[in-house]
Amino acid sequence: MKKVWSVIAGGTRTAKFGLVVVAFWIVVAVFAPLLAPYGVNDIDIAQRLAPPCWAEGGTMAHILGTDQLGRDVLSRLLYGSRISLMVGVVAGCVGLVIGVTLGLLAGYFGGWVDAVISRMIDVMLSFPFIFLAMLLVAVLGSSLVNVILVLGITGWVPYARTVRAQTLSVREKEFVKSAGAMGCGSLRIICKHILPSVIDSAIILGTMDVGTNILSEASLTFLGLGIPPGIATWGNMIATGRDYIFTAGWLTVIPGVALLVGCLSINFVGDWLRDIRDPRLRGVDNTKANQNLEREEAT
Amino acid sequence: MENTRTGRLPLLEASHLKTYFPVYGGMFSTLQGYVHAVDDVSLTVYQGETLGLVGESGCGKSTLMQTVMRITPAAGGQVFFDGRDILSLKRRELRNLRKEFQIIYQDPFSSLNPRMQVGEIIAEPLLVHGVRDPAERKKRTLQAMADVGLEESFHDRYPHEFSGGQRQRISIARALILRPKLILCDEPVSALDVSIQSQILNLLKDLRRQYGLTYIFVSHALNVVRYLSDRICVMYLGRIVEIAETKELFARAAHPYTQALLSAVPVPDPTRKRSRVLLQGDIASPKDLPQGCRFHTRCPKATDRCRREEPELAEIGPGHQSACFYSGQAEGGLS
Repeated sequence: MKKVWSVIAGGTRTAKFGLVVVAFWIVVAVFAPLLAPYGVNDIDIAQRLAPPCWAEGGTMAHILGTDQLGRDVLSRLLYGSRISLMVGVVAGCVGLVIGVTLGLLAGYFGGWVDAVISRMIDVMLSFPFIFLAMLLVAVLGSSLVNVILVLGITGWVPYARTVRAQTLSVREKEFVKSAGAMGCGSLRIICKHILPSVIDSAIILGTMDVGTNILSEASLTFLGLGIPPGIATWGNMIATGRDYIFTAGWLTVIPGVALLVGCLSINFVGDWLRDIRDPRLRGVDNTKANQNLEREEAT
Repeated sequence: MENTRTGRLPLLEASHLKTYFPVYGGMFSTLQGYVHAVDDVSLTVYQGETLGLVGESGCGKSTLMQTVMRITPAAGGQVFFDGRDILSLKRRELRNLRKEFQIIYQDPFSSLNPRMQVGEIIAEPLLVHGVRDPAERKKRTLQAMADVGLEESFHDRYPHEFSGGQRQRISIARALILRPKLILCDEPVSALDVSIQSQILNLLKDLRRQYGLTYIFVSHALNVVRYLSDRICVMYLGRIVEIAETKELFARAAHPYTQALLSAVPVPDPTRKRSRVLLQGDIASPKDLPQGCRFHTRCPKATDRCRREEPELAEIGPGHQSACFYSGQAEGGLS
């Protein structure tokens, strides 16, 4: 535990910010029912479109105002974090696992394995996301789990491409060749020698994907393909608030800011993860170590 | 093959080994021909000896090593290691046999996984070859580290914390831990400072005595090879042009190429006059080999016969073979 704290304390300022915000949202998501002042779907039509407390006409009764049906924005934001974070992170993980696996196989084995996987990538790239999502939802039916699956299945391509390219270069390094010469099997070479060197860019991609996934979920929901209506999600709130953007801007701005800060923080955490995973960067001044690293890689 | 060496057991025997790399080019990536990286090489390594393998960059030294170890597929020929035909072994048998021969690589900066601790790196061959007990692994790892002069405290550190010489020691410990019969040293010192080179060479010498190892020592630096080798084998454009015992080779080099190589070895004495054999022209392309002897384009002694026929390796003295028509009447190497 002490070690964990020292690693966190050694992180950069952005990393600490990211960790704090991510921790905050996790706590909020877990304890949403206790924290929210109102029920998620409590309608108070008399109070509809009440502005947030700092704006003119706002009251402390609804700190972040209410929406067009008189539902409390703060409560919906807190509840929404549950679905949004889950969809963003889990769908990202599904895509990451599929993409990294296929990328490693394509890059390591080459030949017909690579040809098949690369063609799959090409097909995925030329397929419109919404069309594929509609197809999958039509087959699987619409539910939270299926939305996550759909986003994962359509989102693996960037991981596979990045990992494949990196695998191609790492495979030629002497330590990988020496592992083969010493008698390591393919599985061990891939997992122990190649994966640790290529996983970092996939993690970075994954943290950037979280935000995209949250918004994609909103567009699926908007089309009636996603999460059943009535369940609060950030993407959902932004999408429905769009109609009132000039008269009641807070309906889009507030969940928008939550999304922005959340995604930014997850990105920071991703960068931090990469840094602590690299033994060459551990426990040293970051800028200096990076310069050394660049020099080493250049030679 | 060499009757002067009867009584010594051959450990590794390669016969008529060939490695060709296809070259694709043109608009439709069609097969344009083959690079003859290793072209009909036969070679025997006896138990307990150190065979030096020299030649300029691109002559096929490393490819020969990789083919012998079946890392690069051979186009033809046979390799017997300890009486077993390596090139026809099944995958599983080959994996099992790999513990008998290990490699030390040239570049200590890329041959160690930067994300593994030193102890893990050295112990990995044990893990791969079925030593399951962690305590046993740790014990043998520390023994190997002691053998190569690494402190115990380095066990949990990462490769980037070490200098080139220390990293090469880690490499050697990893090669040594399975107690292999044969270690292939692929230019193990050419990436190191001169002062460190001698330390590593002496370490290899000590280990050879301690564990009765057999080395194949690849290098382009003749004085390094001379220090360690019992016999030296000179390669040019994928072929062996001369093999002899180290003393014999330095005293009576028979092939014009060997003579040129020897005359290029720096001598640490500025006053000594030396007769340099300077080679003209460039090395021929291994894709587009010249007719006749492959050295004739640069050979100072080439005749019409050399341009027509290719000379075979022929015995010219006890344990001394050379692939030159005129090596029998050589004027006694460099005097």
